[in-house]
Amino acid sequence: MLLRASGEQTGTEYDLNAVTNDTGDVGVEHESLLRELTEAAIRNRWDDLEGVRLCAMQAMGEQETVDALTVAAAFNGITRVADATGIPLDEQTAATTVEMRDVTGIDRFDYAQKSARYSTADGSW
Amino acid sequence: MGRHAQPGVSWTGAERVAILAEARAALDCELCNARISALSPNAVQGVHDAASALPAAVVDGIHRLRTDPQRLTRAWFDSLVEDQLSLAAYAELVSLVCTSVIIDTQHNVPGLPVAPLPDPVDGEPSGDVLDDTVDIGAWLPVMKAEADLTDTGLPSVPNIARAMSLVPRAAALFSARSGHTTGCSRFPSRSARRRPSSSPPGCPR
Repeated sequence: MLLRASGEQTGTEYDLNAVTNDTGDVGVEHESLLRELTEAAIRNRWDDLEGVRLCAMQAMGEQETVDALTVAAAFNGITRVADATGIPLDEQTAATTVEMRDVTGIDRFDYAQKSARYSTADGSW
Repeated sequence: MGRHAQPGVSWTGAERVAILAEARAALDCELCNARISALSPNAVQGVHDAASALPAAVVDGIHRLRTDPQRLTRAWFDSLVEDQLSLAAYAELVSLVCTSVIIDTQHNVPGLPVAPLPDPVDGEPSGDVLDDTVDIGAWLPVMKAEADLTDTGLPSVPNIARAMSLVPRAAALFSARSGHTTGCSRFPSRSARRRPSSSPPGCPR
């Protein structure tokens, strides 16, 4: 959502579908490295991260790499809070992101849908 | 991590440090690893490799939140708070685990060892929870908030910033670690009142 808002501010068009589909490009500079940094950081792949981090510092710069990893670390906790509390999308955000959520398929992360998907037929867990 | 070691709202300092220890232990837990690989986490039963004397249901909650949060369900939450934990104890636990995840990840990503766990601070839990809450469809009741927007079109107080606001100290602890990223730093302060505790043995309410 922030990426979409950022694109509107700068007049840049991003392919948000590629956020949830790694066969395409979003249109963000160094996005391949950013993806690899994020994946390694949130999946605890520290050996992989060491190499990617060096590549990223070379390609993007030290500060940018630290910034990216700091955001990844923060969201490693933030998404857990959302997962653990079933917090709904903000009303206004929901109203203005109908198309984007449809295109990216992120509605499948809706907590009611997820609860139905991962609960057993008798409602137990 | 000094704030984590202080007595909380539902948990003592020792219990809060034990929660942090469990969150770390979950990464090497055989049951958790088997569940991650399974099509459904509920298909695999067993005993967690626990690092504390916390009740089994609490250990299970911490390990699931640390290793497989995307498959937590409302039914699981309902069963946990029905007879194991109060809503406030759950909110505080989520805050502790999720802030510890952020802190540990911040150490891990530059290749640093994680910080040693702090020594617990003696004292009793305060019992302070927010009285004036509202149901917005989340699993926990949350504080009321204005629906105004920032200049980016995003809410000035996003729902994620209210997720643990039933326990203002839990929300504040998390905000201190994530606020720059989510806008949680605008989390408004509200007065909390002390509620009587009625926990089952071994579990804070």
